[in-house]
Amino acid sequence: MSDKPLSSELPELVVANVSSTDEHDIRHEQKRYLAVYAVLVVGTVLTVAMYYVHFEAVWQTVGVALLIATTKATLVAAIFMHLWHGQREIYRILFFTGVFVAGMLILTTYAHFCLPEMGHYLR
Amino acid sequence: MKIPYTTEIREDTGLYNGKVGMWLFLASEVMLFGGLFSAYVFLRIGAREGEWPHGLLNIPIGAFNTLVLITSSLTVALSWTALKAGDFQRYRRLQAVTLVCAALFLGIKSWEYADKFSHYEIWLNKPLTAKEYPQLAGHSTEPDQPITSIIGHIEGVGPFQTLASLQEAGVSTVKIHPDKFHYRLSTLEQAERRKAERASRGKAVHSATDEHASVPVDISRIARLSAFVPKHGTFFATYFTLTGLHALHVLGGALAFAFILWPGARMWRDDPKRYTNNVECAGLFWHFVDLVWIFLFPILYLL
Repeated sequence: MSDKPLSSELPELVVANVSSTDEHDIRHEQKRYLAVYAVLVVGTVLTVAMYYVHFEAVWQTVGVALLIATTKATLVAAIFMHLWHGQREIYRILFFTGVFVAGMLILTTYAHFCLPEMGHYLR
Repeated sequence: MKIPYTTEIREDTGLYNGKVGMWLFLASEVMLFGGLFSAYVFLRIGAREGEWPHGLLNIPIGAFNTLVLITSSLTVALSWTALKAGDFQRYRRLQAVTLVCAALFLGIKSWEYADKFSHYEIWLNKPLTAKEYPQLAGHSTEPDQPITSIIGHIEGVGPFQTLASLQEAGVSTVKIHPDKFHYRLSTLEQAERRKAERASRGKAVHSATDEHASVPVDISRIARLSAFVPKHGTFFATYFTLTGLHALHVLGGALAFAFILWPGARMWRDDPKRYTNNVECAGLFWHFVDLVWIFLFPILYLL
């Protein structure tokens, strides 16, 4: 194993192996990350601003907040986590995850509304 | 013996093994946080009106923490592209920023926790009214309405105190500086009162009562005293569970990045492709942690 400092050795070798097409793709990817970051910042500002808007119904407040959060989460998953690249195995894993999460929520909801005397224990 | 498929793509999955492994792990994390989130939702909707603490978390601080974590997600993503381009020094700088963001997030969270541990609620066995103490006006909907609990900071009392510990220490009276509003008042009601206050400012004669003046409460009048700790009630139990578990994930992710950045950086010399893949896998975990916070912040702080 070489004793030379890392910075002086390998980076030049690796850079030489990066083609101009790769470099173009990398720059494109970086621009996409920065664009997503800007949207996430705006989304955060909107989320806080929404707190000061008093909607008529609770479901409207919850709906808007979750819509903004879901949009932000989708961008993080699609772009930062590279799901946009369309790898089928990951989609398969996520599909089954979704099935189990939905199952968990359905069972919990069923239990919540199916207690004796319609939720007596929670009141 | 060489570990297979650390860089080569497997034909059946179309990915290298580390990526498949990390996504499977993230699937289990989705179940973990999903279970806790759904517990929070059902506890929230099952609570009686006026009994679920709200407005007790610092929104600007929470929003700032969100921006810190989003920034760290960006630097993680950019550091991976720096490695793809072979620029190790740029990767190092970006990962250093990531670690600074992680430390900042955890530092702010610790400060928030410390503040909560010194913030109290007193339940009274003999109610007070806002007529007796005008500084309690924000604790009831009407001036004559009996006030059975007060929230605020207590003079000369540190964190984690209880009624028993104060009695043991020989305290006979607690002086509590009440918060402007009790969580019993809805967000809408609090906003309307603030608006009315701003409108009347300057028109009204300066009030002799300081709204932050302490309210002396005899210890015999106190039924229960608790800081905003997990034992306080359901909200804080779930708040500390969710944010505490999330903070541990942030710490774990930061430690993983720190290892890859320093002792683990030797691999960049020996096998740069595998090193890049390791950074990508750690990055997937980090983005997931950011994703969880994107939902945690509005649910806990805003709703």
